[in-house]
This record gives sequence, C-alpha cells and structure tokens, in this order.
Amino acid sequence: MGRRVWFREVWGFLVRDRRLKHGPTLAEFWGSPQDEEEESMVVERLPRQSMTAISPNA
Amino acid sequence: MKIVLINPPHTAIGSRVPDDHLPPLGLLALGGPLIDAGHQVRLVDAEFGPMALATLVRDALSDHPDCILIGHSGSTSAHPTALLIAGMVKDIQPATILIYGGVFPTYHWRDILAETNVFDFIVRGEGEATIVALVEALEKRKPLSDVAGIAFPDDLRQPFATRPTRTITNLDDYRIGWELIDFSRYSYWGGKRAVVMQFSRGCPHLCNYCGQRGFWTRWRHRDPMKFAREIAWLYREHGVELINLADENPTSSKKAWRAFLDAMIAENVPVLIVGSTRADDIVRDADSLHLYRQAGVIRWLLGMENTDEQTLALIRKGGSTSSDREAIRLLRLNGILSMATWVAGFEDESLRDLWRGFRQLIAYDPDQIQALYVTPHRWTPFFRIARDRKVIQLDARLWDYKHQVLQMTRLKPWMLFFAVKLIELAVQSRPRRWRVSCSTRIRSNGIRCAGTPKWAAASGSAKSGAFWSATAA
Repeated sequence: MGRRVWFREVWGFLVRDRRLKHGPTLAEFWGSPQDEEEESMVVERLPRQSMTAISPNA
Repeated sequence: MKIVLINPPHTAIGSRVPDDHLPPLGLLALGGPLIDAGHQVRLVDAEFGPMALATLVRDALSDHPDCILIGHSGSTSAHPTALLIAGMVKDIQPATILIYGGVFPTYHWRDILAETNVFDFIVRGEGEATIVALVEALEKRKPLSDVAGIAFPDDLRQPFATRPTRTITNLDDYRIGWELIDFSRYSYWGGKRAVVMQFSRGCPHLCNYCGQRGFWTRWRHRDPMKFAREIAWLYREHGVELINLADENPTSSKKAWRAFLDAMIAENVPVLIVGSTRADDIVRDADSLHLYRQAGVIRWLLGMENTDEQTLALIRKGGSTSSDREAIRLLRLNGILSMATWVAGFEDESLRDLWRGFRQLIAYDPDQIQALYVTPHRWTPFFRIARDRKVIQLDARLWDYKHQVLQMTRLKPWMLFFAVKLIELAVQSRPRRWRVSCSTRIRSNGIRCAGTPKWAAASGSAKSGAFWSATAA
C-alpha cells in the first residue's frame, strides 16, 4: 500500500467514483460464465524421452 | 511490415500515482519475434505522462504503419481505453490493421467483435508464435483461417475464431525485444532502473478466482541458466538494477528455481529481484532461503488472499493460514520483505469477519499489505459461484482490484471501504514491531519509547504486550 495511493483512493471514493444501488447481476453485466473455456490454448506435448536421452552424461 | 505496438495509458490508481514505470513485457515479447521475422517494429508507451490519447494516436500513425498492436497487462480495466484508441486510429487511418491481444480479449472476443468493428483481429492466448503467423499471413495473403489462436469478423461480419493455438513448449525459443525501449526511462523501487521479466508462465494450482492460470494453460519455465544470463546481460549492458518478476508462481519447481538461484549467484551481479509466489513454496524452501537473498530476492508478494480457512476453501486456494504466517516469519529471518495480498468483499462478509481478518493480519505481521477487492472474471470458476451477485460498478476501468465492484449482503460500500482503509493503515504500521522494540527498550532501560502510552510504559512490558496480544490473537 503506497501512501499516495491510499489518499488517492480515499479521495476517489468520496469525490469521484459513483456506485449503483441496484445494478445488474454479474452474469447480466459480463455475460454467462465461460469457465469451460478457461484454458485458452492446447498443450503441446513432446514425445517422451528416455532417461538416457536427457541425461547430461549420455 | 511496419508495425507499431501501443501500450495504452492505464487508468488504474496504481499506474497513475507512482513516478516509476515498468516496461510493457507483453508487447516487448511480441516485438522480439516480429523483429526477428524481418518486420520494422516501434513501441509507443503511453504510460508516460500519461500521454493524451490524441497525442498517442498522432505518434502511432506518424510513420503510417501497416499494423497497430494494442495490449495491456491490466487488460480488463484497460479495455475501455484500448477501445477508444482503436476507434481514433480507425477514424484517421481506416486502412491500418488493428490487432488486439491480452487476457481480456482472449476470452471476450465474441462480445468485442460483435459490439465494435474497430479491431480487425484479436490474438487469443500467448502471442509470440501467433502474431508472427498472423502478420505473415496478412503480408503474403495466406488464408487467415489457417492461423491458430486468432478471432476476427468473418465475411458476414460475425465473430469467428480459429482453432486454439498451442502453448509454447520452450519459452527460450522467443526473445524479448529489449531494443524497443530506452532503459533509462523505466524504474521501480524508488528510481532503480528496472524491467519486468518472466521465469515461468502459468501456475499448477487450481485457485478458482485466478484469471491468469487458464490463460497460460500450463506451468512452464525458462532455462534457469539462460534466464540468469539474460539478467546479468541486462545489468552489464543496460544498467538494469531490478527485475520485477511477472510470474504467477516462479518457484513451483524446487529444482528449476534452485538452478536459477545458483546461476544468479554464479553470475555475481548486484541485481535485485521482486516478485510473487506462494507461501507454501517459501515454507518448502526454508533451508535454502538464504540463497534467495544471495541471488538478489528482496521482496515476495504472497497471495494469501484471505485469513479465513472457510474462504480459502471457497476460492480453492489450497494454502493454509499456518503456512502463510510461517512464510512471513521465514522471509523476515532471511532479510526478505513480505507483501501480503488480502482480498475483501466476499458476499456474506461482515464487520466481525473483517475484524477477525485484521487480527490475523496483525498476527502474520507482513512488512507490507496490498488490500484488494473481489473481482471475478468471466472465464474463472469463481464467476459461476458469484454470477448472481449485483454489480455496483459499471465502469470497467475501475475493475482493477482496487475498487469494490460487487454488492455485499451485510456491508454497504462505505463500510467496507473504510474498514479496508483502516486495516491497511494499521497492518502496514506493523504494531508487533513496535511492541517488540518498545518492550525490549522498557525492559533493558526502564524508559518509555516515543509513541508508547504512559499507562503502558508505567506498567511495563507485560501490560503493553497484553494489549497487543489481545489484538493479535
């Protein structure tokens, strides 16, 4: 927590930022849950290497 | 192709108040491979100033680039600004190809492409390989549907995504475009010349609120030797004094992290390292923490998130309050600062819960605290748990973890806000430190320290100790 950030946050809360009393639900605001798409990529799998192949002494 | 990378001016408080700025690692990570593929690349970093959007757009378009890439590490709260910039670019030079990337657009690509036509392409997932393939396809007029990991409006202007891209197996295959920045402009930790780097990407743990884990998909790390060598090169060639690790969890592999520490010690450069990790890993490495310090680590941010076991179970943190406390103690013992992140704003949290959390934090006694608010992302399992909660903040620029965005059942926003502010003040003042130093001085000298109430001094250490113990239990 920075000192200047702390005061700016207090000032922002009191003076600048506005909040709703009756807002939409989270799903209405951002859309339906998307956790089934959580992993954005597919994993590149390397062919298994034998211990001999990866040993530094091999 | 002529390509401009834009780092939008972020509106979050943490970006706006400090004098220090760190380089945009994500954009530099794309810049390196693009330069190596023969493109002419330039960075416009609008965080300085911050740059007015009109100035930023004028600068970006000054040499008539073919492509503009926009991305920001705080991608949800930076989205409205990225959208504004893209709109301004398209108004002036509609032919410029606008490419957007980062965590938020990776998941919200359908909504973004349906709501606006200012972005030509969205890069989904890590972008090093994808951006090179996309720019090559554009240049050589190859079929875009063959490029994995992108989304764009199809011929009917409907959002279309190609197959997901593959995770980069060897992170050392792609280099960071360090030549794109003037190192003297970037600093951290009170003006030290600093850069952001990643030893690893992703995290093996399954905390259900984390918006990063799924983005990186699997935990991978760079070659420890090469990573240490690059840090030493940055110090020797560019005078970099501090590395801010952007990893979610760099210490996941004890073996790889130990190899990195040994390599850093062997490089013998006075570079400082700050980053984030898990308390469990610190406790695991209790016997080698002196090597952390020797390698340059001066501060760890510990994502403890909460001090309540039930809440930790709800968010599947997988840690425990005992390891959090022990990690802070071990770090202090080894001369490493601890910064605890603590999250407030869970649905049924009450003042009593906050009081309990406060007392736990006092007992943990971290050097610094970073209080954050519950901010669920749509692609995380926690979003499903919280989906029916009411939103109180519609301005996405304030979805930066530093503003309460969801309504609570028992606390009004002002109650939570001032409770959190007071907790931050109280914890950061580290009352346990004062108790220890004062009681030591009273015991040894029979004197009262500055700031010690007369009643406490008069009654000796026992009474002052009892006072703090009562709050710390």
